[in-house]
Amino acid sequence: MKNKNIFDILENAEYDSMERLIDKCPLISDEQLDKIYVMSEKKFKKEKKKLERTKKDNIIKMSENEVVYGVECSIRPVWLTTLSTAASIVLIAGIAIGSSLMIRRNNHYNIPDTPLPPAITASTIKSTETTNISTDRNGSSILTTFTTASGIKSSTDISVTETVKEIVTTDTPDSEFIKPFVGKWTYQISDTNDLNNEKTIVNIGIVDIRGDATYTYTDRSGNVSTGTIQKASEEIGGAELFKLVFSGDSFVSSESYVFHSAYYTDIKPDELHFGNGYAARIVRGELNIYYQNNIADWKTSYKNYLKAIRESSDYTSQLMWDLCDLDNDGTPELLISNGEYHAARVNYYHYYEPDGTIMFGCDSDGMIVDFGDYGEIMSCKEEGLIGWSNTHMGYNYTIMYKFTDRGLVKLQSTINNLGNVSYEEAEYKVNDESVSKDEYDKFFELFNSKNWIYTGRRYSFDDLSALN
Amino acid sequence: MTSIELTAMMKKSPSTCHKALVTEYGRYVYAIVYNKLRGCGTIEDIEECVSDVFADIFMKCEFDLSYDNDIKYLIATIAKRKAIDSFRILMAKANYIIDTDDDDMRELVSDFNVDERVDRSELRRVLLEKIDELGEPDSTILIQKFYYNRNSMEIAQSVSMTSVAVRQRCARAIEKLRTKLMKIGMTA
Repeated sequence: MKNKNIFDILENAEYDSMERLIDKCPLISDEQLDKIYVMSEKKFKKEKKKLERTKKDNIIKMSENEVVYGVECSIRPVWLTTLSTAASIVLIAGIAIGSSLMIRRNNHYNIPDTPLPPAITASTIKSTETTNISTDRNGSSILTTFTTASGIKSSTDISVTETVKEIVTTDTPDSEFIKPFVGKWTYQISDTNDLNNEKTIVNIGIVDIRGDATYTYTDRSGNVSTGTIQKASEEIGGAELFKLVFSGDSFVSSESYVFHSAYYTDIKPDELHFGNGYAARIVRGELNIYYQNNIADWKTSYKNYLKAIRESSDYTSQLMWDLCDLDNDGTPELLISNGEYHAARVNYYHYYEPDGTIMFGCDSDGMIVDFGDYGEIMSCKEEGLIGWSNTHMGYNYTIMYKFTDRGLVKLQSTINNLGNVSYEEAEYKVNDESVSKDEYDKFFELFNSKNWIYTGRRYSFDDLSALN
Repeated sequence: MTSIELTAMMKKSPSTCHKALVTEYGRYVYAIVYNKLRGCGTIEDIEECVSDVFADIFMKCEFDLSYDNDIKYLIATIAKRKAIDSFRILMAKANYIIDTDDDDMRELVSDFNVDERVDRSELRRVLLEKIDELGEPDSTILIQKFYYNRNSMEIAQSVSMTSVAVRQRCARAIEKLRTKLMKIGMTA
């Protein structure tokens, strides 16, 4: 007999059966009753509160034609009218005065500090002689004519019209156009594309423009390159812009772009802007002197540069910085790490003592390069080495660079694919060439024998205390 | 307890009144709720439902006590309805979704079978009669053991016996019940 099964039919009992079952119900302990009481009381209070709130929300019930009694009379103070009238008058007067001041201030037409170089550069380029047509802020064309026979800008005829299509051409010798630009210029770049912010400007080299339309460019590392300059104009949106075209690949930006064309505007005769924005330019005269006279020590220079990046739109919370004397010259280099992911690199910057500016770390070819992975590099400053090593997707690699008089030179790189294939099938490479295992081990052990320290991500951009 | 007595108590002290209601009718409500939820709920579910019943009763006392007679029947009705609500909630929780193309779909017919209901009702009546014929304390021991699922120790406290004696009497009583049920052709 399944005792429990037959007793299950007592469930869902009718009233009579229920009475019998209630009689035989075991006693409920005081603790259990207390527990039930507390739970019930809690639920009751909650329900009561809910009910009272509902009643309160529906407390005003009126139908049409019902009369409301006992409404409190409100007397508006007399002084309140006078006060609000006075306040209104003050407010209106304030708006009127403020508006007139703003209108008066805006009536002074300000010539823009630096007209924007053209946004579109892929247009037809044709060689012309001496005429420059630029576009002002209002979209009107400004026609400028140079009488280059005298070598200076002797007359300037500015006519503002809706559209100017006529280009005045004067017959002059080929090299005459260069005379206004002859002299020494300084090549400057801004890593944050903000040449208006002096803190971000880095002097990269000196440009000497000669009267025969040739130039010599000397970078900070002492590398010298020469080339020729041609005059060109560029038609953009119906207007024509005057520019100098430099041959060769002398002018490299922080992004490793090579610039060739420098645009000229009348408003800033001592500046020639490369590219489309405020990334690179050459300057002369007072501007150059200004930067030369504002020499800061390396800590101030690094700090200003870090602050400029922190305030720029290029800043992300992943960026971190560090100081490390990579080349063992007594002045630490500034390292800026892009992040902690595999492809995150480290840029390093030198302090250039003669003018207190900082310059990008370059390789022996003068190209700005970045190093490391996962946002760090390995440094062995006793020997002036930097390198990095990792295993990624089955490949184990090491790379080692050395600081020399010519800049940073790659010493060696090793790679193997042991993580992808069996030991017998593994391929070993040194400096991108397949070698035997023994040969590979020799280079690999050389890399490992160095006294490496990891560097690149010691400080956040909110903590510049190390530069105090 | 009548509604008049209850109203008087409420005027004096609502919390005392609530406490008295739980003490007086706690076992009664528990038995009703237990009867409904025995097959699908845990002890905690049953206690939760009992507290819901009393919360409802307290609300009635506070706002709507127009009931003149013995409030026992009012409490029984509230308890039964609340227990059925809880039963549905607990069954819904344990339920699962079936695709209409599923083979199990044919089992989703109404569980209300009139014949079966009548049969079960008759069986229940006969079983309780036969249990009653065993006399006290055997009938109480059997009900508490097999219906309320109490152990011998708890039953011993309820019937004022030792747990050993409860076990012996329970074994004998179940044998007697089996004989009685077999005589009337009832087997399980």
